Amino acid sequence: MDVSQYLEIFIEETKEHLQAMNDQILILEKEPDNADCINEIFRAAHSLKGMAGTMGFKSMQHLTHTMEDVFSEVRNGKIKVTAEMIDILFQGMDELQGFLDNVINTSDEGTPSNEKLPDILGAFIAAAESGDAPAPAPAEKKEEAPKKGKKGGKKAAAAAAAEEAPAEDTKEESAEGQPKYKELKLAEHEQKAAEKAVSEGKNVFGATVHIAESCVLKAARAFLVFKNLEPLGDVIKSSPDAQDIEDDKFDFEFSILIITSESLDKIKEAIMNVSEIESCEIGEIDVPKTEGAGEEAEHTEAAKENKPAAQEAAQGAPAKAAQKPAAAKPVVSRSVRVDIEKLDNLMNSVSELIIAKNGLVSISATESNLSNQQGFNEQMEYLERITTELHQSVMKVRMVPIESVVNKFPRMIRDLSKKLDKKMELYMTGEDTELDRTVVDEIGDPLQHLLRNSADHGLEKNEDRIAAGKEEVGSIFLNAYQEGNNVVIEVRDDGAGINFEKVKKKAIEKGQITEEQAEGLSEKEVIDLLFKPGFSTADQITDVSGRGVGLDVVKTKIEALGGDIEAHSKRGEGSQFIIRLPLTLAIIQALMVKLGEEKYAIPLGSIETIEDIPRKDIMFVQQKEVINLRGNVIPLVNLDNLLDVPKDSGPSESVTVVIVKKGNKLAGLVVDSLIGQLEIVIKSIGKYINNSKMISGATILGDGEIALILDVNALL
Amino acid sequence: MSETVANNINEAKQYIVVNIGSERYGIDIQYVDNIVRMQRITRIPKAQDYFPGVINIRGEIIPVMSLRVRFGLEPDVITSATRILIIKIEPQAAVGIIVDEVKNVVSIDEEMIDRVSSNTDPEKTQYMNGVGKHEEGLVTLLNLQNVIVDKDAQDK
Repeated sequence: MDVSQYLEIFIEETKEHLQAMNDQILILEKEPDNADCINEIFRAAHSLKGMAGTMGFKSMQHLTHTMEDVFSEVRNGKIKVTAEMIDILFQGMDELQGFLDNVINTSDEGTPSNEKLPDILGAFIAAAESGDAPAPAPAEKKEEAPKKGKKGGKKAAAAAAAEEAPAEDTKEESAEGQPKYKELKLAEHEQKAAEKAVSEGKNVFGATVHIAESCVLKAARAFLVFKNLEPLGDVIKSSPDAQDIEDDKFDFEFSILIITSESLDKIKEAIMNVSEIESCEIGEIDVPKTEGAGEEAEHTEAAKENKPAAQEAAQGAPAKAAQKPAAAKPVVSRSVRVDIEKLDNLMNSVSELIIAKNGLVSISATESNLSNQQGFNEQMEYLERITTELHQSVMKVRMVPIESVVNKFPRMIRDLSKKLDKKMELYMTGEDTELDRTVVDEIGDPLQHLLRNSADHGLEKNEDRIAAGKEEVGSIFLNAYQEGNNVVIEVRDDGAGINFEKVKKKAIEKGQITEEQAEGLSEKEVIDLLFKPGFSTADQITDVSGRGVGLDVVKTKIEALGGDIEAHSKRGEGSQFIIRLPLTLAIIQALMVKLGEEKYAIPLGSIETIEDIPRKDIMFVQQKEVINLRGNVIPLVNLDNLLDVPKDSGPSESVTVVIVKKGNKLAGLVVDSLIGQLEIVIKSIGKYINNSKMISGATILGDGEIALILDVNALL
Repeated sequence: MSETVANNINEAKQYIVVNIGSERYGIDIQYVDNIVRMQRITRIPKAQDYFPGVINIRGEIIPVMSLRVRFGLEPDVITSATRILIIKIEPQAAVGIIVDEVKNVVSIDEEMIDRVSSNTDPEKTQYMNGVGKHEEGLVTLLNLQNVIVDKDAQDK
């Protein structure tokens, strides 16, 4: 066994800590005196350091250690948070992110891209010590380095002192009663093993190990304790048992019995060599002849001196843990963290499914025909309810909040603000909106692109904003919310808006349209031009955007996810991009309709109402059929004609119209008859058939027949 | 002796011989996933004319192509001998092709295949890999890649 099995946990938790630190540093930048915030960062840095140490990622450990030191000084009021420091800290964060990416891809942290970072950070501490303002680091770095090393040791001692307090508590606590290991009861075979060991002249030691409460990967720590003990002797018993320890089912302490020929001190050293072990009580166990006698057994109590864990951390003990996996391959499987409650629901549904199946089996086994039919129907209804529940549970399991994606944006906007020298602020709402995991994974890049666009093209320069009578600080909004079966994500800015004339000019230059065409374009058509490949209106190509690979890529990506994007803009007031994404991907509720002899499915999510319209109420506007429905004039789409359905019956008295919605546009789809609502599984019709996008897929009905799914967005 | 057998295995490929109209075509057996009877085809609106629709094979939806229409012959006449060959030229993308009749499986040695010369009309020869000779006569060997993939559609 090696630590690689903890790699996944490490990666997940490191991500969380990095995100937390990023968020907090952002807050800190605005409120340099926020003590909660400083504490939060300190804790995150501390945990990161410990975790990196356990996993043997030394550069990462080193960097986080220095960061922790800086925050410790900040916390003690020795140094003040400065803009310069924040910048360096962010560089540090990027570096850590780089390490993490390397770990994800190769299970190794890789080499630091900026080795001076820890030193630069160290310079802050050194400066604080000498009472100076933080010195520009690179110049003094060399002489600071040794100083920093000294300081580092001092810090460790300080941290150790801080941690001694809780250690003391546990000591007192355990002094009251007996150390936990003495309460261990030996099972018969263990008893025998112990007796045998004693007769062979070996020692039987008991130990209770306390792990620091700040420890995040306590199972990993415990595991390392076991690993360190392995070469020294046989652990015959542990409480809780080894499996529970591995599964993290214990509270910061566990007890073991070990048979060994080594000395007590050696065992103790092996245990204490693991970092974040706060203390350990160890003593000899007198192996009793009978089971009950164990408690009165005498022993040498050598465990009272607590060694602070932090000191151990500095000794490089974690290096022992650093067994690198031989192959450097990507180590992360795509995973979803699932609320245990969701899994319970899933399990319940599955149990019910089995019951329903058994019900059907028993019905098919009985002979009588009449009661059979009724029982069968009941079971079918039951089954239907369960499958619906099951579907929902599984969907819920797959849903994750978009938080994980949008969290990185405040930091990005901050960096952009500095880079572009524009003042701007990002306001986010609805981070808890949930989407399918696959969609969440994919949506990050398009959103990032839109935000960059807003920052770069959307918002004006500071002085232009003041001249236009706007607030100097530009605002970018990122709002997410659920709307029916869709999730809507809006990216909005209060900048200059899209310059339609400029877009037209660019399009003409690029030969995408002619001048005459440009004259007649509506605003909406101009916006559509923006989504054409190779279009960029930025006059200068910047780092941020303007290379012309842009909105078309965003659009393609979102359409690939089954969503769509639209844009609105008002000159001088800003622009808005609206992304609509389907909640689910594979299974949807649909209305089944009939056209001639063919069956089609219309996704329920896009249906507003269903109307029966007398044929005489159909009017013509510009040779197009429309109906007037409660004050709304709605165009009709004759699906028969559109889909070339072979028809034999003549026109009837009235028509059935399914009113569908796309954005704020309504349309009425004329169908021959309705079949009903059905939960359908979406299947692809393959890539070879070219169907002008009106058909988004197909589904298989109960009798094996195929029904095609209409893509309402493409029909309108 | 044993050497010639080995050679045969190395160079001979097996083909399924099918009738389409009055002609016989050979389809490389390694791409054939399944052969099924004619069944109900669901029409796909606005599809290419040689795709009459899709069928359901054990829960998978598979587009079906009419080779007759693809080759510019008169439309299919469905008889009891009509079959659909399920072809997979790449995983996860099956296509069914309608043939009038499946005759048999033959082994054709590489040497017995006449490659199509490059100076013939590409319009006519794009769907064929060559002409194979065996005991019962000549079969046109189909170039499945070109038959199935619609170049115009792919370019779009």
